[in-house]
Amino acid sequence: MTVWLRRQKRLIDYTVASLLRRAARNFALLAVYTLIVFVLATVMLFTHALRQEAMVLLDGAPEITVQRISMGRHDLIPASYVDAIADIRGARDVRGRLWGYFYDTANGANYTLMVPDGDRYGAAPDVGETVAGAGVARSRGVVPGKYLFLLSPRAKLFKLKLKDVLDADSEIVTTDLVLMAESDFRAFFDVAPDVHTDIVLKVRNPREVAKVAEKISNALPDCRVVTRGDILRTYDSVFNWREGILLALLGGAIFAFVIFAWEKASGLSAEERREIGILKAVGWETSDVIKMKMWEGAVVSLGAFLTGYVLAYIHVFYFSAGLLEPVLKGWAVLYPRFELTPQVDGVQVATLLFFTVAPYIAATLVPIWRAAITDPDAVMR
Amino acid sequence: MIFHPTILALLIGSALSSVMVLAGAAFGVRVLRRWDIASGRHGQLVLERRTYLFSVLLAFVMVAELLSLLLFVFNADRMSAQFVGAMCAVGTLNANAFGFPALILKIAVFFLASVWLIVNHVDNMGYDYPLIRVKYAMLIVIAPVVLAAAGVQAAYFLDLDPEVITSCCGKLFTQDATGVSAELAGLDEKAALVLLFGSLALAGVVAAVHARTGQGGMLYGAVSVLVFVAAIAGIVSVVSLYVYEHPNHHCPFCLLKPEYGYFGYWLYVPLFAGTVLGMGGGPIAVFAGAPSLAEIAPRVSRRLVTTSMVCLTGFGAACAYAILSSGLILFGT
Amino acid sequence: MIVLQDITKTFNEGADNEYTAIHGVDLKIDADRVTVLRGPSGSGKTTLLTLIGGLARPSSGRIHVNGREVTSLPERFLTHMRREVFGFVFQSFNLIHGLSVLENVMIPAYPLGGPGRELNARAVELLETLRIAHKAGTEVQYLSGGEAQRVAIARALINDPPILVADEPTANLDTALSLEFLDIVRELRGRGKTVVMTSHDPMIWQADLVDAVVAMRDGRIVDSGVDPGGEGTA
Repeated sequence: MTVWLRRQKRLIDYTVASLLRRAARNFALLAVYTLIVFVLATVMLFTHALRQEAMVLLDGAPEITVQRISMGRHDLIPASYVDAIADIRGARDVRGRLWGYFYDTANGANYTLMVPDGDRYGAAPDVGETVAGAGVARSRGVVPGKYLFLLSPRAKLFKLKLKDVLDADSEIVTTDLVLMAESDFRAFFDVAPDVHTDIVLKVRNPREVAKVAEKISNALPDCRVVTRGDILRTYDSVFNWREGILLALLGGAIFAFVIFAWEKASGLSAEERREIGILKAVGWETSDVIKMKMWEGAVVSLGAFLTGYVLAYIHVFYFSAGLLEPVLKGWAVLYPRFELTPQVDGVQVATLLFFTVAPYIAATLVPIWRAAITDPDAVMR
Repeated sequence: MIFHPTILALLIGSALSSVMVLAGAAFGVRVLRRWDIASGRHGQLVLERRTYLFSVLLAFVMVAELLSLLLFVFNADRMSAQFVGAMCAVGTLNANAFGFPALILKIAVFFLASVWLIVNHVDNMGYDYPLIRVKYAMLIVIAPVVLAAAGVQAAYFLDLDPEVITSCCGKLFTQDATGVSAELAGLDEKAALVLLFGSLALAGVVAAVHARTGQGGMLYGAVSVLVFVAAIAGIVSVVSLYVYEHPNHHCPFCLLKPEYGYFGYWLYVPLFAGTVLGMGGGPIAVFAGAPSLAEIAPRVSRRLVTTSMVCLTGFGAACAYAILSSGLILFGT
Repeated sequence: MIVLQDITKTFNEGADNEYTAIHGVDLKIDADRVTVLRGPSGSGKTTLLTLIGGLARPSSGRIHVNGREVTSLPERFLTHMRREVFGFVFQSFNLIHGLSVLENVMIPAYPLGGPGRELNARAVELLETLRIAHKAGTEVQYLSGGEAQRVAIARALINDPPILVADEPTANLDTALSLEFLDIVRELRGRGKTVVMTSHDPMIWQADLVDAVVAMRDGRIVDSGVDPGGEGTA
């Protein structure tokens, strides 16, 4: 085993030295390779981060959401509908929700105002109190025990005592949240007491979701019924379609890269050819030369992969994928704000390896073999 | 079909592997018919040089297949969010009829590929290509399995439909369902444990005999397959219950999740490694018949079998740990 | 001992430019001796040297090295045998540019995977014996012809082979350096090495340490193994 390790170490040493000796020649390959990894990694990191955000959002989403539609627009839904839906067999935990977006002129940010439903965010705030997301508390400089002042759309000043700040762990979804008591919410937005923003419900058996949704839309023809599956599929088709288009375009790039790598690996310079001839003549075996060249491929791949991936990471998470913005901009429609949480995912890295390193290695196998079977007496001719 | 980069990568990987394995099998036929080590003919020299190419190509395929199996399982787990009723890989794999057959074929390819790599390794140690015919005959047998795995995998992914409501581990691995998975789950706990630890003990005895006398390599290969089957049955029917501390949760995949401290890796990594080393390492002792391997084959075999047994012991220890440290009590004291 | 039986080497067999470089050569090369293949250029001596050293295969005939038939050996094993038995010094030295003297010397030992410190020590010792150790860190393209040759010899000896094979070793050297080379050969012979070389340089094949001179012409041996200078002195 130690002999094996030492042998590999020597081959690696040798190959690194020989790469460095031809740094200029190898630079073009390394640059193209890195670029390919960078572009692919950017697309994948970006879509993955978006998908992840969507999943987090959906995780807490109810099985069915019912919205009232009036004149083609989302409208407030009467409380009486809650009872109507509750009568439908299979529907459970039917509840009216109260939530809305609020543009805070004080610092130009968008908040989500909401009356908490259940204990997902801890104990519900009492009248005159609030629980806010970390982002809100930070930007307004409020700490628990102090007051949060909000100017309502009717230009009325509300003074809410900050009871608690939401856990930073779930910041992705909660950072812009402002939770308040139902009466405060109704007063703030001037919402009548007998209406809700929308109605949510649960369905025990997943196989009945479609049936229940159908019954609801029959019973309440002026309502739109959205199931969690619908949202999921919409997100998915949006992500997948865009990612698919990009990957199809990039497929061409990968193919070009493979041809480039093949060219590069087959077009050995006279100098390299001579060197392999010498190695064979002084006693290296064909498989030693192959191993050495494979290590070369591994070193190049590792370098290009790490550099490309790190650059993509920085690009996506620190510069919001600025270079791809024209292509990817449409995504922003899904989210009013646009901050991605850094995510590195093993499956994704493995996928990226499959798309970049595997084709590279595959493209260089035959040229490497061809170089390695050089006759050992070639140097004597 | 769900358009997804990982799926695309798996499909491309399988297609690439299939082409290479087919080329390898075609070359294998030529080797079987024309190989003549004693001949100094030009044709023989060309053939000999080609073996280097195919050795590398096939090593590449085999490594890609190993990665591909991992990726397949992780991807299935990841995609479970997209199917109604799926909570882990089981649900995704169960979304159509090709999922589990694809997984089983991929595991088969994993084992065959690893055994092939071991044989290839031993062959490379003998100077006169002692196992070249064995190696390429094996390849001709492996090629259809690789193709089948690629085909079934393609069918699985192409047929995936997010509209389908699938059932997950909770449904699949219950006593009242039907099918192999249910049979496994329904296995009597005591019997499963006896089978599991019994087969491990048997492997230990055979390994000890092999280490001392060099005999029983072939038997160890067979026993390691038995251990693998017993282990999977044991994990599904009993060990998983202890890990989940739940009398009815039989899933072999949820074990890999962070909720259970990634305990599955402590089980599967040594189990797969031990099985592979046993399946490949035991039988190579037989090749001591070749003069150039007379001394090498038994040595390598002994080393691999010992390593295999260490892995399997580790697996057994992980199972025992799961059972002893669990809050669940299945058997009255 | 190396025995060649009815060796023929044909290049580009079957093609238009086919030509036969060696015609049915029989030859015995004794162990622990210095043998020189001489002849004008194109006489086939270098080709014969590659066949003796296992760098190429004959088109027909048999070669035995130390009693072992090597012509039908698989390439893989031929390489193994070659690096255990032969060390090569090439006419143009064939050092790898960009690497240091020390690295060049150690290259043949890389695939063997021996301990690094030992290998290093052996290489330095060889360089010291050949009085070139002071250049160990220099990249080889900056060496003079004589220095390059000594590095090439050190490289040939790194795996401690019993037989040293050299192709026109003095072709790129002046008289003084050629004499120095002969000194090195004498030393090697004294240490029990077999030396086989080609040369068209009379200074080499007339040297008193040469045990046998094989004269070649047009791919045939015209005079084999006559000792021109009496018993070599060790």
